[in-house]
Amino acid sequence: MRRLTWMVLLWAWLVPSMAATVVHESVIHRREIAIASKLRCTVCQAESLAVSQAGLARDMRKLIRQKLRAGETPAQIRAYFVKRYGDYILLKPPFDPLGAILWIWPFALAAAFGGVAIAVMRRRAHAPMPPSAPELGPEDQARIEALTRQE
Amino acid sequence: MVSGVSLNLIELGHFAAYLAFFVAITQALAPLAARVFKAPGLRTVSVNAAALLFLLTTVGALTIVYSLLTNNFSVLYVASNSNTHLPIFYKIAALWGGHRGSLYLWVWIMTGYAAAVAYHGRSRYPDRLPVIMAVEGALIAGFYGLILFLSDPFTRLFPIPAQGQNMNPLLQDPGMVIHPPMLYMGYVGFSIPFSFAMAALLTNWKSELWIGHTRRWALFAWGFLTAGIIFGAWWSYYVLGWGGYWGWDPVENASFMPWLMGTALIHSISVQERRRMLHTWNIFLIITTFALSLLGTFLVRSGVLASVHAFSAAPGQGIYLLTFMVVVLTLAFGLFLVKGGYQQAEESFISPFSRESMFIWNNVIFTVACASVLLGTLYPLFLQAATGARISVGPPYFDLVMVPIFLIMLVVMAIGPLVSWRKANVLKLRGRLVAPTLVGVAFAALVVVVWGPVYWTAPVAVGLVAFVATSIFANLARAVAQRRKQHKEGLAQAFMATVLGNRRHYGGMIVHMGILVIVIGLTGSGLFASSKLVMMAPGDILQVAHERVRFDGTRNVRGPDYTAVQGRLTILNNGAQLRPEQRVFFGSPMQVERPSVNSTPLRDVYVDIGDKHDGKWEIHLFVNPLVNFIWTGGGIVIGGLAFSLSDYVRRRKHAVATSGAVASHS
Repeated sequence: MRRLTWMVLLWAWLVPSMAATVVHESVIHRREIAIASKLRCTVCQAESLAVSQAGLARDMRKLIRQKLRAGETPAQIRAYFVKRYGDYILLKPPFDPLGAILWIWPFALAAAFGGVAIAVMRRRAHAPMPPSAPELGPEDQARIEALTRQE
Repeated sequence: MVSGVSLNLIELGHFAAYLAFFVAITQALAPLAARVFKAPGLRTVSVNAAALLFLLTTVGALTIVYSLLTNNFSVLYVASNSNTHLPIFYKIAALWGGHRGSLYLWVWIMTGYAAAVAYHGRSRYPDRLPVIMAVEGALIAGFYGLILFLSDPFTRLFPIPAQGQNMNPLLQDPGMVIHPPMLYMGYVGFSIPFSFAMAALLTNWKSELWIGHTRRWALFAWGFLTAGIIFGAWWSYYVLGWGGYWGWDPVENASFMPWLMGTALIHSISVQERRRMLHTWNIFLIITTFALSLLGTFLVRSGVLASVHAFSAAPGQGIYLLTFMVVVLTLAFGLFLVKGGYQQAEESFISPFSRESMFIWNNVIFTVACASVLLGTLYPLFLQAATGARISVGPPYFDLVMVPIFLIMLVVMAIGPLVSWRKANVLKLRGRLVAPTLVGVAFAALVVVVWGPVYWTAPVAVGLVAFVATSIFANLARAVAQRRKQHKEGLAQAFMATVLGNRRHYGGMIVHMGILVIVIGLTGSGLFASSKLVMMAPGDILQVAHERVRFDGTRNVRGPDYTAVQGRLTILNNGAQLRPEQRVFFGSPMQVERPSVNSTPLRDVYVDIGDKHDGKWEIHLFVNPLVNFIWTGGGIVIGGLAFSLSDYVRRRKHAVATSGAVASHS
């Protein structure tokens, strides 16, 4: 009995997910844009596939669309393009020996600069207060009053 | 067709430019000669030369403009960038429409700045002025060398063609007419603080004595650079037709890097003025900002980058610019290392809870931001040169890295102005942070509730914007209340007196508000935009977001120097008409899509028309929310900056008006 319950539950879970392989066109379009905006248009000047008006970009978007309709996942599609064009097509460089420095650099730099700033502030937290501006003498006061009266 | 004197007037300009080159060299060498020959009189030569240099360069520029206006195709530059069909407006703008002319504009602006400093400094810092002018003269001579020997806009063409080629169609837009001069005013403006810093290092001039002067030049340049970047984004949005305004394109980055360092600089100078710290750091920032301006020029003009904004350049220019940049920067940083120590201030107390420490964090964040953009822009170039491997660093990378950095920046922006100089009262500060924090959290929660699962940056950005805005207004309200209590004034009077009395501070706060408005625009258009690309037959209706658009068909239209297929679309929600075009310019094989935009404060409907297949047209429709906030915010930033700088004018007038009274008292 218990086993049957599990079977029913499993079915209840699986059937809708199988049906969902037929994905709605608007979802396909959203995914297409999401994938295309992360891939470079290889014949353009620093443009992604999503924004390029070049013929090649149009064909590649179509290819993405077809693959999505055929049920491929975004990861599979990306892998397909990387296999054909190399890492060059990825607008977000991967974390591999060549691209790692791009991801480490901002954090390393923030740590280094932040560290220096904290060190300087800690060192100077015990430095003497700077002399404050000299007090105004009676002559200065008189001058200020004269000026304000004129206004 | 022109003839006789007016045909050859360009030679006068050419002669003036050569003369200017030698004047610039004289300007650079005069103080040195004065020293070597022990003839102090020679020093003033470099100051007077600055005025002459500007005059000669202006003559050169005017002859180019005259040649453009009179269709003098015997000038190669005119023949390759202008033709008889081009509207007058664009004929003038053609001065910076091509590589050679725009480089000339660059130098023209530079000589203008130098002349302005010469005028400004003649009574304020006459003893150092010759050295400042010498540095400026050396830089100008360097650029003149490039112009005259490698990209001469005065070159003649024979036989004279009957018609010129067209100006790059993409540049035929009002946004593009304004964008380059603004940008150059910014880039070149940072050469003035640079010249001050070099002169100071060379002559042991304590930076306290000159940093105030450079602050105004730096602010001025920063304002133009900001405006230039915004106009560039505007042009990209309204002309390029990809539905976006900023693509982390290498050339955009090239203008953004000096902006980041310039922003650090204008904040850091305030610390030096108020607290006499960071003297050496400020000089470093000044040099770095100008270095990045030079780097930007090199990247854009050497041909190493492929970009929609870049110029196609002749060989040799890249080498020249690289050499020039390396020489200038080696000398500058070398001088800084050798003599920068002289500028070192006494170490004084810094509390972690003080305005100055907040400024230091501002500097840390902007420097990290700039260095990240720098690596992202240059690393692919280095990698390809060194190993041949090609990688791309594009918008997904920069968005991921830069957005968090900017969000942290907003936090500092909110807290900074609340913290007092020297040492803040922590309890008081805590009290002042309560209301802004609550408002910020409330707004962030609101975003989550209304829009549900959006990318995490949306609620965080909106929350931080609300946080900063509340803290600015609360601060203002406290100052006004204080004044009302002290001076027994009415609300309006106290408000005016407070804001007008401290223009520098409140100008800065207006700039901050402008930045917040821009952040709202970036968040809205970056995260909530939607688009569709479909084939449409006349009568078809397309819906994107809540906007329903009907395609009514096309017709052929004619512009002054192009023919176009014009799409006719109607937005059914408000009845507005959209007229995107696909233009074919005379003498250009390129088809140019010109989008059409219907803007309301809250959203843009943006449409492109593409090719025709089987009686259907390719229509690309975007609905971009809040894009207008970006342009409005840019306007607020510039307005705030002008308000802040107006303090200087007011003080000067005041000083003139009251100097008599002071003299009579003392």
